[in-house]
Amino acid sequence: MKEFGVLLIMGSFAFATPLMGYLINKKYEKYLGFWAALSFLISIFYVFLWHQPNAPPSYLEIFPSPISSSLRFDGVTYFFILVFLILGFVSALHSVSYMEHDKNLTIYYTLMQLMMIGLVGLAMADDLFTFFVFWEGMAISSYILVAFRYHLDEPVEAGMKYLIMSGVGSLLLLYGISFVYGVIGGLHLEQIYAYAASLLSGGLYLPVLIVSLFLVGFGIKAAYFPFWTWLPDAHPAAPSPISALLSGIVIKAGILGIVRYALPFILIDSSIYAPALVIISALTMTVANIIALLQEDIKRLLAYSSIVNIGFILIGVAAAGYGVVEYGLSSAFSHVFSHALGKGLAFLAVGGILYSMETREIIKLEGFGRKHPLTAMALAMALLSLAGMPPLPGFWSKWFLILSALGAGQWLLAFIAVFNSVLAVLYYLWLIQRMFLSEPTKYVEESHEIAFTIKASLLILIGIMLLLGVYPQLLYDVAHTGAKAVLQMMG
Amino acid sequence: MESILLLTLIWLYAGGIAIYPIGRYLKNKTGYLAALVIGISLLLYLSLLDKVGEFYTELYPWVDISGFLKITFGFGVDGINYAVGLIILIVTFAAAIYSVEYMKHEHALDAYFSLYVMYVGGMLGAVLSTDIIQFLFFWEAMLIPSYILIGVWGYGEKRRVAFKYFLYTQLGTILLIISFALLGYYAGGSFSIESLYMVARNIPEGIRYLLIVFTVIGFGVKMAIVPLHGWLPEAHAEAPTPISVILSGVMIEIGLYALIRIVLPITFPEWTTESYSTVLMLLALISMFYGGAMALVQDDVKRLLAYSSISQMGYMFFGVAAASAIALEGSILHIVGHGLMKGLLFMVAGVLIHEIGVRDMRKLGGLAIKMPITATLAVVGAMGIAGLPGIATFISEFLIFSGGLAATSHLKLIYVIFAVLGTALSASYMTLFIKRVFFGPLPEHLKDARDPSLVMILPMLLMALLGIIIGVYPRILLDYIVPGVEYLAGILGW
Repeated sequence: MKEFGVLLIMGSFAFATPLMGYLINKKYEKYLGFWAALSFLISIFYVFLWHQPNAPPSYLEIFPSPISSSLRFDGVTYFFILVFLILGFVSALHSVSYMEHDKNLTIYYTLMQLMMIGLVGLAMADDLFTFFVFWEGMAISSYILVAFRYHLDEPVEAGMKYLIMSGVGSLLLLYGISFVYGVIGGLHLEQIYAYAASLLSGGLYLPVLIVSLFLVGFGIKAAYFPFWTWLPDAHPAAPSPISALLSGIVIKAGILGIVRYALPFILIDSSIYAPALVIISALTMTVANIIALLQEDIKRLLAYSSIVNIGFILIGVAAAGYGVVEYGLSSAFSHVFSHALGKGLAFLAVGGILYSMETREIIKLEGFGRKHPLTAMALAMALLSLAGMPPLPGFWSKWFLILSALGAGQWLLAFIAVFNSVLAVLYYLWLIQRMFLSEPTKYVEESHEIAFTIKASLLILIGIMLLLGVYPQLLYDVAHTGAKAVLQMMG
Repeated sequence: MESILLLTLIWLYAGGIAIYPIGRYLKNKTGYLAALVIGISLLLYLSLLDKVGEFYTELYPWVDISGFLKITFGFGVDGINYAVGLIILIVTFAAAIYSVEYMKHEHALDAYFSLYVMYVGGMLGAVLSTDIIQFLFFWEAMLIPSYILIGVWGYGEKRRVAFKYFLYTQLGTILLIISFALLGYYAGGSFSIESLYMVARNIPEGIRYLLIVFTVIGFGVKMAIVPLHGWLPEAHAEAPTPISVILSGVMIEIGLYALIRIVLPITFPEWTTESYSTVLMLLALISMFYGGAMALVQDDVKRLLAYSSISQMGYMFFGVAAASAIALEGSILHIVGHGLMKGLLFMVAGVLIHEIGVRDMRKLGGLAIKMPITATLAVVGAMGIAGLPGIATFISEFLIFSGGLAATSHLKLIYVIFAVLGTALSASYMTLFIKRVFFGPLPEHLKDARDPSLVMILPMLLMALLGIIIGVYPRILLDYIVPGVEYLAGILGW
């Protein structure tokens, strides 16, 4: 029960933010970032303090029947909240310096906290209705955050594109939810798990329709093949800490949705949807990787790499679809974690670069590592982890994924995964090589010092990554609590 | 002490990290510190000498997920990898001292020596690993420093060459990762080499054939087996010379070692089938002759030596392809002998670059009068590569061929005969090298050439002496290698 206090903490902090912004001098507005960071930090400790990882799920009813909305706190919630909050904390810290020259910072930090509440809430949702409410809360805040610098063309255009695509996705999701309600008569997870299997007696038509709508609805948010088109525009256009949040955790909300609500339907007959997931996963990885090779803009490159990694995560989901639920989901979740860390660190490091020299063109960044070793090291480390270089968490989670694909008998998928992983090394390495081996360009020579909070946010993530890389058991165990919760629900 | 190998590795990595800040104060004397770090690890390593016979291992639990993944972080020595590890430390120790003088005028020596020592750590770790995932770790940990070392301190088109090297190796690594994942899958998630030996028979035959293909290609890239050799001539020629010494002398051999350690025991029945072993032997022969023929027509000293490495790798691979215990012992001894001799010759090439700034043999000649010590050492190295008696490589080549002669089919016997003929090719390109560089008329611009300073001579002398000692009395190494190979053969019932 006490776990749900997290929402209360985050809610109070979020509602206090506009009030404080109104009261304090505009000069000190930027320090609201510390306020947001504090909120996330307290929440992390609160979860650690009150939740036993192996405890049975706890429930909280918000509205009684007929609305019947309730929250649950189980392993999946625990895992995702942890990932969300860690990223939220470092991004808020990073924002303090990164956003210092922007206006309307009160709005910025309020929206950031609302987005985080949406994410934490949808991880806690026990039924599709509650899930959808938090989902929209998260989505709407993120539209505005992408277009936050509304005096520029690029963010507004990207924000519009994101709004339209994601809006359509939400509608399709809602349509799917209505079908679930129609055939099952309820939206709670327990009800879905209990009755999903009986759907098969009425023919394939209904489950296929529901899963298709879910896969498209969640897929637009998760940005896998072929629904990714909004992502390479939206993620680079957002301010860097927001890019870190979007790429690091917001797209993972789509994965969370699939694991929680689509998986019960997928599992009723693995011959229908598991192959589809395999194909989506393979195409996502391969096509996005090839496009990433051609990018000249560092943030676009990272955005495409996010798509590639969603493809990787889907390997584990596909393996789960084939019945290797425990290992499949554990590996998918560990990749969720390691990608959130890696991509978060990468975007925050790029944020550091933008802070010091205001360009995203890779060609102008040559030799950056010679002048700003910490930031460049952070970027290099993030990229190497994403590329699956040992001993970083990315290596381990990819290794788990490959093993689970083999366990599910998907040899070709394992092969494609390894191939893509190595292909990714090439463009990452090409980037690292230009940053460290080249002579600094004149733009780099003119760059200025990077602020302390940015460095601190990078160091925190580097520390977590090294810990998980050297001690991968921890990465797996955290992810495994999530997978166990799904297993429990399946009975 | 029970964790002496772990200590050696930690010492190397800690030393590598410490050199970076300390090197700023030592400036161009940093190399001595690097040599000291490697030297102490060499002493630590030598202290294990009396434990080699009893297959000394250290195991530390790392990851344990029941039924899915079990990785033990461990180091172990038996006769086979003790010899390989020893040669890694000796060659890198010598090359570190050599670097002090050779790299004197280069920039960022703190970073150079820091990466250098970590590179050594990566190689030693790979050779001592008892777990294939751990092996993969160190496999990458030796790739990245070497890539930077070539890319920053190399010659010519260094960045393109370094990238090509990385690309080749990394593409090979795809196949290795797949093979390792398959192996682990059949071993129920356990990746330790011992446990893989135990489950070797449970792996379906088709998979084992596939494993041979994948790993021979994957490790073959590192070993530069023709046609996977594209990166080697450029990378070895354009790397800074001390790094060329390591690349040619010890790094490419690690691919071969891994093949012997991981793949050969598991796939032995398939490895020795008529069709597979003849194909593999043929590959080895092609490498031998292609490398030898290309070496014959090179004008650049370092490119000649690089092609010679391809040819010599052919000999070692031939011993593995023959898959008899004697040939295998020969291959492992050849790793040692070739490491010393090829390292020595690259150092000679470095002397030419450093002292007179010329590496084109068309502009060289008659240097024996001006550089007597260097010339003598070069002749020793050339004798070694040519496989003349008295030098370690003679013994090893002899073992490889006599192991090959134990073959049953006529085709294989013909291959062995060709391989023996191949040594003539080695002898000819080596004599040509000596003649073009050290004999004949002395060109006008080389009038002032002199032998280099003692700092460069001593490491070369060390390598030459070791090569001769092992050549005259090979038992000091064979006494360790032979029981190692026999144990490997015994455990799998060859």
